[in-house]
Amino acid sequence: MRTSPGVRAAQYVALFGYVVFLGFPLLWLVSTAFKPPAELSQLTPTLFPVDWTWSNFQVAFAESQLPGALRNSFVVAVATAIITTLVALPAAYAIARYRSAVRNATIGWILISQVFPFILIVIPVFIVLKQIGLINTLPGLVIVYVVWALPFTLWMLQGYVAAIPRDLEEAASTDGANRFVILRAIIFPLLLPGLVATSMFAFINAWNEFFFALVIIQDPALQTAPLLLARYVGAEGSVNLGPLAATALITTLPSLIIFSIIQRKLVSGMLSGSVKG
Amino acid sequence: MKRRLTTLSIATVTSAVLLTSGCISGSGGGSGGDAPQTAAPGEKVALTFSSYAFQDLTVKATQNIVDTWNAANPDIHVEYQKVDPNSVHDKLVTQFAGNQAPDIIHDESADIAGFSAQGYLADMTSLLPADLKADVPASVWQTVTFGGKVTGVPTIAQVYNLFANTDALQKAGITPPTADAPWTWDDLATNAKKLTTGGDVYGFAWGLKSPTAGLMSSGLAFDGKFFSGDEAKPTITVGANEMEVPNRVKKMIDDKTMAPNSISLSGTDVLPGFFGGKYGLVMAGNYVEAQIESKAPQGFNWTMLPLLKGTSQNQAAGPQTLSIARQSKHPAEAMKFIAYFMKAENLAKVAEGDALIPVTTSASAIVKKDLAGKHGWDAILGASASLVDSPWNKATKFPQWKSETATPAYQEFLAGKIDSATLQKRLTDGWTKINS
Repeated sequence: MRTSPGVRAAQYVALFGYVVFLGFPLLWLVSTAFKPPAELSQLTPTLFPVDWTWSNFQVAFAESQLPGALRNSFVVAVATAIITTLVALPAAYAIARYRSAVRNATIGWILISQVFPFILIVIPVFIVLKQIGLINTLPGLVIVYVVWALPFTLWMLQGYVAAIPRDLEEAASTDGANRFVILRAIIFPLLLPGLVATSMFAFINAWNEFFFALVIIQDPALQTAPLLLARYVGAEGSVNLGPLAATALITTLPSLIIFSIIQRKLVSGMLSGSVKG
Repeated sequence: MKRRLTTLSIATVTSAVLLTSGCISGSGGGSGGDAPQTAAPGEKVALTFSSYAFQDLTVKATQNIVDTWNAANPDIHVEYQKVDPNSVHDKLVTQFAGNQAPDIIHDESADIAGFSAQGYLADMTSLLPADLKADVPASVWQTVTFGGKVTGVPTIAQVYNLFANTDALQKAGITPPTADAPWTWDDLATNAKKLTTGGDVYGFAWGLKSPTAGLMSSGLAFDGKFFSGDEAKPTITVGANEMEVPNRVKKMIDDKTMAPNSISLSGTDVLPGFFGGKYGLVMAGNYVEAQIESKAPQGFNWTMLPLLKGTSQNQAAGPQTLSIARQSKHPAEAMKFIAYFMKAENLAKVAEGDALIPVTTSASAIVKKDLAGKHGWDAILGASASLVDSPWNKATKFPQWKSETATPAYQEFLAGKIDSATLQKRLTDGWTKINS
């Protein structure tokens, strides 16, 4: 069925509007990062800077521990994404494939764990980490992030596993494939989009997280990017807007780059799952 | 049934976590850790110092104080930990509970009231050097004295004052007031009317997105005390004095001499309108001076005006503070660093960076000399005599009342959603409920 030119034009207009809606905050961030202080205080702000300046970036790099904070955030987020996915994968498979009373209890427990607000657990978590010597360490932060992300990633991943027809496994088994071969050759490729989505979720969660990092990290050399960003916001609404935007732009880039790389995998994985043999 | 089970599960899990983590101790807040010690001669001491210094110049001044101290005192090393201003309380709560608090804590008098009541802060009374004690007015020491114990050294303080576009004043034929003859609130209303030229040009604006602190502090000029009786658990009275400033502000909104949209803006959000000639007068905390200094367009002429007068020019002191954690093993050494921080030349640099008023006489003299005749600084520095210990400073439940009751009630009043009598009732009933 052919789409009429009018409908096609309307689709493009809607798509353009959606792209502008999504892209405008990023455009505004870029624009703000390059504006001098006087332009940031104009009554009627301009879309693009009149006098482009690097001064906000100079402040961001010269007067803060930005490179160190980016490195710490990257290490913590990558470690969280890898560990969370590695732990969640076998657990998700077991939950999706083996029906038992333990499965129901586990799913119930996952749901209950989502009820706890940060504020309820932060002090106990702090004390536990202190007792095992992990306060003010990046591994301590990674453990908290993994534990915090695990219930949702497990829930997410078991949905992907459940969506893979059992018939495929049974057919492979009939052909003589053992359990390991089935997992490696059948399940894993089909599960790739789910794994990518899960690891992205864990990565972004850890990359953006502020509150646990605030209470666990004391040493300035170990602070993560969100802690650094928060220091540009003062009391009673005062903000160092230019350096904040410059720092925010820089801290957004690694996330964008990783997302764009992983996104290709996500699409190729989806395609591989959709091809009929 | 399901709901009961969920509740039971949460309660059970929470208890288990708390028990396994040793959180339920039954002891007072600051009882953890070893007894305070004095370092033996030659022993190296490491102190941590958390500070929420925000403005670039203040951060630099603070870093310089720490660096020069460390260079001159190799046996007492201070590590500067930067904290963002909006997270100070949350971070300290966790650190105190985990017996991991910094030795030296930069906070403010209203916030240390609760920590003092919980026993987390050291009594500094016997540690204070005599010259430092004499350098700070007695009224300001009152703001950091809780139950007879001094748990913080006051450093710099903020007042709410008018910022004026001097070109707009001149154009309207208004002579700026002097420290000897400050404007009254009536004068503000009169001059705001003169500066209102129609369209979207208003004589006056006040960023009242968080209205409680500014309205209550300014209300002390009309003797609006709000609280009386027991300092930690006072009773509230919202009478005519307490309602003076809110009613006057509301009147200016109603007669369109005050920008109505400014009540939804923060203290610094009004600056673009100020720079753009939309507002002739702006009320803000005097820390905004630093923002204006760095952001005002070239050729923009402005000044700070003396504190507005009601029956007096009183405002709440509420200074920033330096405290010592009761968990600190080296309070004597921590006090030595605080005394160094408070040296006139050091505190003056911090105050100038933040555009706030130093509470010591000696630092105030330096700032006065440095900034004499500049943007009305003389009048603002003279305001330190008008700073009084506010009756709500030591009320333990005040922060909760402020966020849960006062702020939404004031916002609704200024937006015209409730009347004056309802505001009085909401403020009174809210406190009675929270404080019961």
